[in-house]
Amino acid sequence: MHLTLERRKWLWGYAFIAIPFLFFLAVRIGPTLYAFWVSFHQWDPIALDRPWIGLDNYRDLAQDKVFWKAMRNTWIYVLIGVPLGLSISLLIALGLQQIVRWSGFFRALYFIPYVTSLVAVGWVWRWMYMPNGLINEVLGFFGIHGNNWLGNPATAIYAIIITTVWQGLGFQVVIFLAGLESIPQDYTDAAAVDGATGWQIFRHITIPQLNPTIVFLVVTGVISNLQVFTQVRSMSSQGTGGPLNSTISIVLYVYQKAFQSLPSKMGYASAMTVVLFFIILAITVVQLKVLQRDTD
Amino acid sequence: MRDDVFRKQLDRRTALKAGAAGAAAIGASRHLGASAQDASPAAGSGFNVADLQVSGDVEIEYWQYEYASKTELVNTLIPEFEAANPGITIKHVNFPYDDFRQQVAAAVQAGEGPDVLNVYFGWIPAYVQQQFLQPLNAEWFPHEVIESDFFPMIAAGKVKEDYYALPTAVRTLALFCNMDHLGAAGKEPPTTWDELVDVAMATTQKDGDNFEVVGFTWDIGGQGHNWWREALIRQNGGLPTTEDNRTLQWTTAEAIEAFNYHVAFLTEHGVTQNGFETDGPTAFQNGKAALHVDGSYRVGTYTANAPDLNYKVVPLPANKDQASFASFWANTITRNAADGDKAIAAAKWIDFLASEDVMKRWTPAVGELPARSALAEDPDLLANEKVAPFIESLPFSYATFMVNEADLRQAVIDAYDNVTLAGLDPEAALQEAQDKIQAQLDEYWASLDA
Repeated sequence: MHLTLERRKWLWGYAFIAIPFLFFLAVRIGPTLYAFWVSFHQWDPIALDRPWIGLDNYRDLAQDKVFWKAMRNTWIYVLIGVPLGLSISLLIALGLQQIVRWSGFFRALYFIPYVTSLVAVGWVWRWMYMPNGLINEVLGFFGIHGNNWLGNPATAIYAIIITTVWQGLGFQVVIFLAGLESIPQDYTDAAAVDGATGWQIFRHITIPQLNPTIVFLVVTGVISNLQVFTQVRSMSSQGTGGPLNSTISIVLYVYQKAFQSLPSKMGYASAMTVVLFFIILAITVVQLKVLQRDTD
Repeated sequence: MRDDVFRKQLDRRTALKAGAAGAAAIGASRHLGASAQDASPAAGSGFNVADLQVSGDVEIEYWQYEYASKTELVNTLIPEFEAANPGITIKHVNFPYDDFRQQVAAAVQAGEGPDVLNVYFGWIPAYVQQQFLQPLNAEWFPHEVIESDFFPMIAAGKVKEDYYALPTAVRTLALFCNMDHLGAAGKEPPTTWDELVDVAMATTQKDGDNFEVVGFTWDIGGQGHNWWREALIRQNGGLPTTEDNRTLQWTTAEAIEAFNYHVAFLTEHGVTQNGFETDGPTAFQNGKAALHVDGSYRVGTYTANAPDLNYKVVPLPANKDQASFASFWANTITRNAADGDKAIAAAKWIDFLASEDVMKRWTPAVGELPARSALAEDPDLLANEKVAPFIESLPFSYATFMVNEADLRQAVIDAYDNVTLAGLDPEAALQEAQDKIQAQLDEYWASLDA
């Protein structure tokens, strides 16, 4: 068969895409669809039969208090963690942008937490949070009575959010810095010549110009907070999302039902992942539509 | 002076042994009726597997989690076993502890998996329900021999009329005492509930509101929940479940009183704090706790991590009765070795692993306790004074029958948290925990009875 150069190029292109596509199909899409299938069964990997139970897992889910607690907590992780992380990292990025001397050093400093193991970070913060730990000692120095931050159902989730935010800062700062650097100097210069104040420049030039960056960080931040697991597992009391389920997240609950519970409730856990999948899908679509506006 | 101390210890030990023997007799009669008490241990293992022969060469897979000293010991035991049992080959498979249940589940789902599996006792009922484990053949492993030769915790390996497991590695709970703190307060290790409170109060050190040393650790998620369930309730004259393991008894007067006794350390006596030094074992290791209830495996941890820690171990302080919690890892036969040569090979292998000889080597090599009552007074094993109190506790140590270990543990932890953090009434908190776990038990037995 005779192929034109154009057509040959085209074929090569698809051939190259085909490999990652197959890989993606096998390790992402396949298992996702399989989880849908599993969620309609009473599925215990060891049991001899795994009966089809239709929507029973979903019905049980609707009545499971712990699941709703996990759902509520997960939204707290998202709704507090994401805006808090974004505003702090934007402030730091704006500051770092001003620094000329030692800028590489400071940027590296903020990035280090991000490349540190989540579990190690979780444990160090546990030590700082414990009743006789650093944080209470510092508070005591100022005459403030301490608290068992992770052992108190009222504060545990916020203690974990602070750690998560701290750890995520490095990544967000770097992305913000890249976004800030890409804003043409002409815009700010022109605005300054027209007599705009710093705040006006920030409000009407920097923020709109940063829109794609913010969209990216919000989407990735929301997804990663919806899937929060390691921090809760390594910091919450007993690693089970306690005390009294005050820190449990959906993914941790999925893990408990699928892998820690014996008999394993794989079908039930799969039903939860399906619910989470649709939540993330819906949110991502909405975010991309609402936040992605062209700037001119 | 030295002699004095020595004599004191000796007296104590004799007294304890007498107590232990008494408790063993009580335990035995509870489980067997009087007739089994005079069953004398037979030669060898006491089981009828020595004469079994495989018809040809057979290989069985033995799975246990990765733990250096266990793996090494089993690797030296395998050639001995194979030499004594021609035709049988053991394939030893290890995997990380953290992945235990996932690994087993994944292998079984893929149509593979072990013939003989070393499992935590708390998972046995669930594996039985899943028809993953085979009952031990009662002709080869007669029940009266199991019940007379092993400590009472073996009951947790029985579902309905069948035994499913032979333990090798047992752990019990005892009281760890930091002798520097006790010495400074002029106190001896406590032996009763009241003394425990007294010593904890005397050894607590505070700087204003802040604890420097807790008199007693608050370690509910560690061993605290087990201590209440199997030790405190029984010590107080109650039983955590009915004998048939079908009905929880967590809300009896004895159980509630035992629970309140425990909670008072945190809420009334002011001798402890939740989360102090992150957890109980760490607080004790760092010398920041005077008293701490923990398992026998902790001796090895402290020897390695805190070689200079000046501590002593004594049996759990008692009240009306003496009791402790036992947990164990046991060898079970899976449905992969249901019949034929594999069944024979598997039976011979678990018999060998649970033999007196192997157990005597297991304790010094791994640090876990023997499961056979004949070894309760073994002088070699009792020579280690840190391990001796755990061995002495074996005759009155009980394992919990659990159909969902993680949920049961969480329910008890939540009961404590509900009372100490959420201000719930103890009886209501225990009732809530009991209702949740009782529902699981009911469901479990319904599925087995069906």
